[in-house]
Amino acid sequence: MYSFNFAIVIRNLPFLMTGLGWTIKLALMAIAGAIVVGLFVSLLRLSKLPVISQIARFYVDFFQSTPLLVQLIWIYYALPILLNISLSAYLSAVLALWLKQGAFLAEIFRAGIQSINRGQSEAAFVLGLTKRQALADVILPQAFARMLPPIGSNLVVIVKDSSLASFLAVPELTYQATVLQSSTFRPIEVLTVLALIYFVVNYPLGLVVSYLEERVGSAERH
Amino acid sequence: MHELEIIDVAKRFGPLRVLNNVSLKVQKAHACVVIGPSGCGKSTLLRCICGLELVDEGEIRIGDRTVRAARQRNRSSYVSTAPTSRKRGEVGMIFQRFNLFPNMTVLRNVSLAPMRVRGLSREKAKELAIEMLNQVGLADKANAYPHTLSGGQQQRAAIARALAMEPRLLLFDEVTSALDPELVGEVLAVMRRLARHGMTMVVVTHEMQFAADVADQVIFMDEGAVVEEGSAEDILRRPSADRTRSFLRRLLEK
Repeated sequence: MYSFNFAIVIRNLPFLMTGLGWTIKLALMAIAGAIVVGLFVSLLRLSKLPVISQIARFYVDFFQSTPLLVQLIWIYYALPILLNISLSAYLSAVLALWLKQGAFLAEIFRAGIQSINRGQSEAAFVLGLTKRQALADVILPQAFARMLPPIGSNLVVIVKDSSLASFLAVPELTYQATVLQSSTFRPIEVLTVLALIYFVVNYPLGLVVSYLEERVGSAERH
Repeated sequence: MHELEIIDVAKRFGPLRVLNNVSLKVQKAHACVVIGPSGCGKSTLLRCICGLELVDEGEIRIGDRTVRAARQRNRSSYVSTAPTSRKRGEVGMIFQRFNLFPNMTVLRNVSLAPMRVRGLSREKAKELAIEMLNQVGLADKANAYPHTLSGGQQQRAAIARALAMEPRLLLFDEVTSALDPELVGEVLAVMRRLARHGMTMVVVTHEMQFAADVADQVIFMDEGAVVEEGSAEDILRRPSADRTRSFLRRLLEK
């Protein structure tokens, strides 16, 4: 029977937790950028010009279907060779998350915007509002309430995906864990604690999102 | 010169001819009521006038300006001397389902377009909005959200919202059809007042009493064409076409 020794992990907790700072930094940057990318791409997707809409569609399909790890490695190793652009491990991870999660969020935004009934944009049109004004004042505020649940789950996914940055030796949580497990020879305990830490970060995040959904969604339900 | 002229307008949705050489002239300050069975194209006509649909053939003029025309190759365009969105507010449209913006108060619903499109300051827009709400009897609901209002109140708010853009023409698309019967009266009262005060309007409705009382002109449409046109007396009391007669009979039987 395997004898657990969590004590050794607990003793090294501070080391592990330095990774948490990086994970949070990574996740926050990724979320901010992904939302911007997502909004931009969703508007391209909704363009009246078929060319633009198709390009955006291809972007979304491509980045949704290729693995994050592959995108990450490609940005870090291939970009310097092909385009002379050299990004640090951290920035490569951020960019990869922007592109991939941006693609997912783009679909969420697009669906949210399209779900607002046509009468709203028609009323805005006859009043003389431009498309941009209609989006900003009428459509997006309404779509926001509906998009909150899927956006919330994407945030949790981003936090989890940040763990892939460990692959490039970005010193976030998972990387610290891999270092710790080789020095303590206790992979089971280390990884268990790692999972728990992610849970402790993500679960409250999920609760906050649920709370926001309640508050914002209640005006919707009429 | 008529305030609104519709000249030989045709509109197709795929193979279906929804509007077939429709021509109509409405004088300034007149109320034109359009009646007809469902699917006869009356809503589509209104939507073409305000630009929600493009015409495939023909021309629509407001005042002395051509606002919709079909170019060669059957592509329609919004032709206007001032290509700004401002001009759209000139033709106000009231929808069957109100289409108020639920994410803002009634006051903001009414003041939004004047601010954004006409460039009014927040203060001026607010003053204007309150005045419009006064006209429709909703000044006390300025800070309420649309979902707290009854159907009749929402529709009146929608009218105030259109009025705030100082339109020269108001279109009403079956605005009382979605209302509970006891709320219909308050909306019709606002419309009667507007007509009395000289607003040029085109009203699609099934409310025959309203038509009889208010219309300067009634047209009966069927299958995308104008079947008959005349005064309220003529069309409602002494219709000459069989189709008009049978339509009115069916309507009154309900």
